[in-house]
Amino acid sequence: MQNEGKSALLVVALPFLGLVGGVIALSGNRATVLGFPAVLAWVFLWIPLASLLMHIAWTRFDRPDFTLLHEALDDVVPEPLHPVEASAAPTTTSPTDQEGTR
Amino acid sequence: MIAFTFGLVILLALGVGLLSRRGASDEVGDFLVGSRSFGPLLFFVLGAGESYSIGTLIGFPGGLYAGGASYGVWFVSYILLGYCIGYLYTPYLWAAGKRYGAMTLPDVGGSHFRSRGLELTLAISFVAFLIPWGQLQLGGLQAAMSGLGLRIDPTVAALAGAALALVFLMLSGLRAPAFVSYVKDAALLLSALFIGVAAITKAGGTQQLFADVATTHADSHFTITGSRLTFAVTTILFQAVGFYAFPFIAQTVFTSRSVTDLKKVMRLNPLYMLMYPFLVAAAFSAITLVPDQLTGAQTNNALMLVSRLVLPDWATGIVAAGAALCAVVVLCGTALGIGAMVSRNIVPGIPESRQRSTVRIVIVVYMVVSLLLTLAFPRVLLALVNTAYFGITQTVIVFAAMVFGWKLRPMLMATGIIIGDILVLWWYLDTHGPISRWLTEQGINLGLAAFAVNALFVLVTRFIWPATNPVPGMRSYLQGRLQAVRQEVA
Repeated sequence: MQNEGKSALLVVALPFLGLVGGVIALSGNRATVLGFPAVLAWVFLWIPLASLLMHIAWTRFDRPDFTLLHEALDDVVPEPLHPVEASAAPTTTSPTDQEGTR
Repeated sequence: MIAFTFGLVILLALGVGLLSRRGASDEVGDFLVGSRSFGPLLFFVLGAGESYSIGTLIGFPGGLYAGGASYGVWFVSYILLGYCIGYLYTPYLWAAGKRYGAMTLPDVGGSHFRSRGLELTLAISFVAFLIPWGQLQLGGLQAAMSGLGLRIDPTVAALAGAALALVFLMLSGLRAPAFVSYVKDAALLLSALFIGVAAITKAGGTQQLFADVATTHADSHFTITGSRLTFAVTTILFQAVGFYAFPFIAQTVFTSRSVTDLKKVMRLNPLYMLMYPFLVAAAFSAITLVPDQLTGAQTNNALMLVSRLVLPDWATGIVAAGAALCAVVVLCGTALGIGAMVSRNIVPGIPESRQRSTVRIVIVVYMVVSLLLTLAFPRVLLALVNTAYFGITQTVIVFAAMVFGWKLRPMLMATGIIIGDILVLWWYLDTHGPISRWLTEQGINLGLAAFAVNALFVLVTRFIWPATNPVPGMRSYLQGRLQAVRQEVA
């Protein structure tokens, strides 16, 4: 979670700006790439690129936190689901759970 | 031969569906979210299975054939960017699901904000706007069957598809479409590959295939200008944001057994989309290969017509089976999502022990409604994709507030959703009204325009009447949990 900002830049900001920006830039262009219209080829380029960016974000920024989170969420006891049920039944939140929510 | 390979693939799917009963339990949590126990492979296959509906195999080529490059661009881009958002967002959704024992999105929203009104608004909005999704699947199924060249009545095809989905769901709930997705995904990917490669080969290479189209359709199919560009861009942004607000896509997120598996699998999701260049090639080849100009709902038949022209019969049988399974698997997910929302979130007070049977009744009702709509109102499939997103994306503010802990009152968020839904329905139905006409002329996605009003309403009320005791967001919840574990380790 510490590096979530960097991860967001890489995985969300970059593809949104890159893909949509490229679509706008190439929209009137009749050039082709291997026969495909350039604007479609640009979109297809982002398919492996998006996967690669996610992989980089995972290996460089997210892996340590999410490996720990697996442990942190393993023993979560579900809180009562509906507000109506919540008022009828005692809450079962664990101490760590309360710490996280307050 | 077409019927033989088609039947073989469907029989294989049935067999796999039967296998899904192994390890299943009678609890509603197993029926709806597979007891949150799916490993990475099954989770990936189910996620892809529910994401790529018949809109991909039948609707997408039909849309490209009729609408040109803009349809290809918005369709592929919004799913891809949806995955990018999902990489960051789904761990929070999964954690909220685990925290509240949630099995539906309204469970999550209602429980997090402790608001029955918000839960009900979310559920009704989702159910209303998921109706076109069932119509999309059955309409696509009709197109796939009618394009086969066999004497199959479209009504019988739609009935058979709905019946098959029902059989799968009655077997083991969400486990059945998850297992059937192995067959469905293999058939879908093979179909795209077969038909794309065959179309390219028949044309004498990609250069020649597209050059043939350029002579007659250069403007519409190679460039995106004016209002078509505005529509493509506004639709990409609007639908990418709404991708994980789809209740059955969210339900697949809950099936993962761990947040680490979920995050790892998210990296691979875009790679599934490498099938799209093959479908684009097939759609473009339809322009030169199919002798009659297809119009309106007929354009849905473009892929199957190309298949019969470029593939041997046995391969066309696989394409048709892939299309049929796309429809059936997604219909299963949609019906299960709707059944879950009606029994858990709309009708109050049904105990968990009886929810499973209620879900089954709702599923049957939903199938009947979808069937009637499909038979009464044949539509261009990709238009139905847009219609479903119009309403579903209006709910994303709730889930963003859940992650970030914004100071928003639940009832005001619910009011924002209602405003968005009413506006988009008004503009969608009142096609000759001044606002609707202006938005359409400019190419602005109607859903995005309604969402802007919804978001503005929520933003203004956030400053005028902020929540006095806002619920902390899931980010702070997870950070608290992480900190606790770090302290334990230290």
